[in-house]
Amino acid sequence: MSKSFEFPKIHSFPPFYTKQPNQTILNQQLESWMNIVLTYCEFYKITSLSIDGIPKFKSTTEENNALPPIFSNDEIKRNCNSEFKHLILQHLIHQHKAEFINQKKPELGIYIYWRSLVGWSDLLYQYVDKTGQRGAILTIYELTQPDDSEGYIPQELKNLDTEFLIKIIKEVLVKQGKAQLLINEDNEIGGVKIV
Amino acid sequence: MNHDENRDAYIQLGKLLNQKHSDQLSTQLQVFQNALINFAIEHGDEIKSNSEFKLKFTKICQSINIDPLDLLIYTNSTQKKRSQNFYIGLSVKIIEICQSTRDLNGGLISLKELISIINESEIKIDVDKKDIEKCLGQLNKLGKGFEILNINDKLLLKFTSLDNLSNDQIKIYELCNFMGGVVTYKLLRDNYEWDNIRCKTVIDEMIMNGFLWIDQQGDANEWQYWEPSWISH
Repeated sequence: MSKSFEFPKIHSFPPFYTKQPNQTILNQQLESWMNIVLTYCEFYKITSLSIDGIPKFKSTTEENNALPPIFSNDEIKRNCNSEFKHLILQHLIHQHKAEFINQKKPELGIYIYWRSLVGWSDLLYQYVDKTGQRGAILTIYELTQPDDSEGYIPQELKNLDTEFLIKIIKEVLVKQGKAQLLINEDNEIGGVKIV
Repeated sequence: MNHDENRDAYIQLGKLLNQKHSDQLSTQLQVFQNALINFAIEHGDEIKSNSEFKLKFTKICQSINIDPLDLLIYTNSTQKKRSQNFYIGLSVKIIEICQSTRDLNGGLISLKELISIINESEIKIDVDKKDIEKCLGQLNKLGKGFEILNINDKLLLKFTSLDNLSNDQIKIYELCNFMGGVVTYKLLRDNYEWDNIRCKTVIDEMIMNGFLWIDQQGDANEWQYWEPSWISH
């Protein structure tokens, strides 16, 4: 990817990095931050962030340090302190645009939903349906790895975080009765059948 | 050619085709938008008089991302003498912009910013200060709500129903203008010889009204206070 993410003007407004005391303004500020996080993550295909806002998993190959940071701006020497960062991420969670990877262990980071779980599951289901693989048993690996010489796997699904993929299958497709997860003897997920 | 090279070549070709396709589509969309604008200019009266036609036309506009309001303003701006409808449309547009930016700027928007937002819309509409003033004149007939303030030659539109800005508040905006959008207690003391209590009263009030944003990282010793219209500079 050659172009880097273009932040909106407000990202260069110095007080944007200080939590505003006026509640109306603060809501607006959190809303602006949320939009930045979502468009940024979508741009770099980031599906999860650490609780300090560092990309945890993305399906592009770029190094983390090649990405411009979200929560700081070196040009104006400003950054959000961790308390404010957590407030922003909390706002995303409230708006159902993010979720803790593990509710009991918030330190593991959060999933970012610039595309909803249902949206992801639609992509996956369409792919399996279109390629005539409904009813076949597929490994998790098969569903996301890019070495499919035929090029059937949609770009969006390639290299997707497997934990995230399992979550999509479990929380949407299994609940809709469209998928079954197969557990092997080591109690690991061996494969998935999408019907 | 080995397998990998082959695949790369295909991927490149695919990308090229996609790019071509999307270019073509956006050209088509552009053509269609232009056609629609011309249609609106030519058949304006029919659209206006037939409500079913009008509804369908509005739906088409929305489906190709044209704001019917922009279209109304545009079709009425092409004549030499701008019609009453032009000013009504533009007045509605001004109210829309004021409402959507209110939470960011507390109800005080620079005229420059307002005009640049209007000119950014999908259809190019050229408006200037005079047009805005004329609209405000009309709007104020409905009850006073809009007022243009001149602070150091910078024009600001105040559109809240809040009380007037106090003299002290105006002085803070004056100083902001000189300082590139920012003031501190120290600057106020040095320039106006205000004591701390006076600074605090005015600044706290302006923060509560959304006229100033706090910045705790500008200077190690002192907080800074920024005027939000800086965002659009």
